[in-house]
Amino acid sequence: MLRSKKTLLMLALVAAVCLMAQPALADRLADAIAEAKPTGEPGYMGIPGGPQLNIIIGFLWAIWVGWIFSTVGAFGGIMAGVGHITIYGLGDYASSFGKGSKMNKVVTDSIRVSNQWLVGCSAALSSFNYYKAGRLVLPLGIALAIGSVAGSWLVPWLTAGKISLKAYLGYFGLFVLFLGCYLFYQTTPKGQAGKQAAKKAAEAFQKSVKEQQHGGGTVDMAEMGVKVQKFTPTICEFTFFGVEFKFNPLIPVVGGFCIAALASFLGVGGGFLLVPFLTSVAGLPMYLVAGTSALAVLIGMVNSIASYMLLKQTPVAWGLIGAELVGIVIGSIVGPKTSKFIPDKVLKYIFIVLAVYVGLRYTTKGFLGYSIVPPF
Amino acid sequence: MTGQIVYEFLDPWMIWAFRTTGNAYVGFTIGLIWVSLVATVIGELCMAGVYFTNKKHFRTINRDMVDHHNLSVKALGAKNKTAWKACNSIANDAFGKNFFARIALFASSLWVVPFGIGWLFYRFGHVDFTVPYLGLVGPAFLFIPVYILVRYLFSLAKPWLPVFKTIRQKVKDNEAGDEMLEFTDLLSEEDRKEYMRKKERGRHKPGLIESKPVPEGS
Repeated sequence: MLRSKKTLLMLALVAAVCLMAQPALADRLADAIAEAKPTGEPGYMGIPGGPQLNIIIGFLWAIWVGWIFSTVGAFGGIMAGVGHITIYGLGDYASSFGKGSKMNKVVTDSIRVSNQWLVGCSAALSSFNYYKAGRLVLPLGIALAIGSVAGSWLVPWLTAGKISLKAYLGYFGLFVLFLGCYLFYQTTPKGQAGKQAAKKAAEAFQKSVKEQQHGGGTVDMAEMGVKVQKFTPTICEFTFFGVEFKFNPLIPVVGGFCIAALASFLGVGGGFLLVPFLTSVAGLPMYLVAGTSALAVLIGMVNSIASYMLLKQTPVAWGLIGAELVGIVIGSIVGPKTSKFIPDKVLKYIFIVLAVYVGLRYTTKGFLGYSIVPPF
Repeated sequence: MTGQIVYEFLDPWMIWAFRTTGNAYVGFTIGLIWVSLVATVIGELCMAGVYFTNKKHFRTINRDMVDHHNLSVKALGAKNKTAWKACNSIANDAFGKNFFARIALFASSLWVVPFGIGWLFYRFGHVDFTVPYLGLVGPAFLFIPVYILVRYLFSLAKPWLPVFKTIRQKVKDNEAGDEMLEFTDLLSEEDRKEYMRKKERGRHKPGLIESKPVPEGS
């Protein structure tokens, strides 16, 4: 990419960030305080009588989050959410104001956007570097971006100030349960079969490459790149270096929308859903996934945070986010050094148990009003 | 310990820059640039520290990703779709692992920023900043774009800055090995030269890969 284009991209990013930076429109919090009339020492976000968040606890929990990021991956974003809801007691604090109160909803939105700041910024920065390095499949990137913008704008617009902590907990719990079930499926013989088959096929090919002492032969200029054979609203057939592929063009738009909407609703980056989506559903080569997912993660996250903070004036506690980021860093240093002592399978089972526990607890607390797993 | 203690500690290190001139606007601009620069330098040094603490880990996951990607390119060249799918799926798993490890790595370059914003709110939270058409905004509204610009300019200057130049080279050395194959590597030598010629002349829009992945931060 030309330097001038990079500079333009950077300026566009600065312009976009101007929109997501927090304006001093604290009216929403002030309104909530005026309605609830809390009393006591200023605590979380300066709310009188609000919880005095101990940044050391935040820091320690974030070490665990960083450990997960560096060893397991996606589950880190979920654990960041668990930290805000349960470990710092913000969930109970929001609930204490009752379902219909403004304070309940403003704290719930603050939890969501704090999660997104915590995970999303690093994800976006990481994605941006992959984008600089990799390639962008422009039509697919645009389709994903359209879906992402729609999803990450619509969800804050529809739900900010309307979702109570209980409802958020319920949906968050359901998602964690689903993740737990997916992790469990991966450990079953059926889930393992696909991976084993892929591993065997890759090994067989590697062996044949070594035996033949060449790198897969050459193709002529006529075959290189993508050649579209058929394009309808539901089928796109193309050859990539002479090999036939097909996919449904509607899938990236719908997928981008769903992923961005879900990420925005739960308060996560979305990269953990986008990467497998682009590879398994769209069937993209790894090199192209890097650049293409970058665009969608970046746009979705900037848009979602901007919507929550600028359009809906959702406040966050910056000191807490800073302390959590420090914890994530320490966790990510410790992670690779300790995970080698734990077998992959054991690690996976630990996370299945954790996902099922957290999922059941939050789902039942959210939808039934009590937890079916201890503490009740 | 609460955020307040952190901001009180940061105060003398930050506020002096805002008082360098008698003009409030110029002083505030200098101050914002100073806070951004401090956040950038500390962040970049921390990221390097975290990277080198686990350099073996980053090298391994990167190699895993590159090797399987290269194998998938070779499978495509051999028109072996089964092998292509298998190698690509393993390469994608490796990419996922790499992606999340890098997220944690980048957190080490960003942790200073929320403290900077928090301190700005602690110091200037009660000051009314007005932006035309938008009305009242908070200090973060002004700080975040300045931080991004400072960080971008810093990334341009990095190859010439003493410590950061060495860091860059060491990261490169750590991840040295087979380079990630481009799809143009599937072409015969002659076709490749022809393709590169066309690309240079700008007649042909490249449908493939232009640059190699850079492992380190921006």
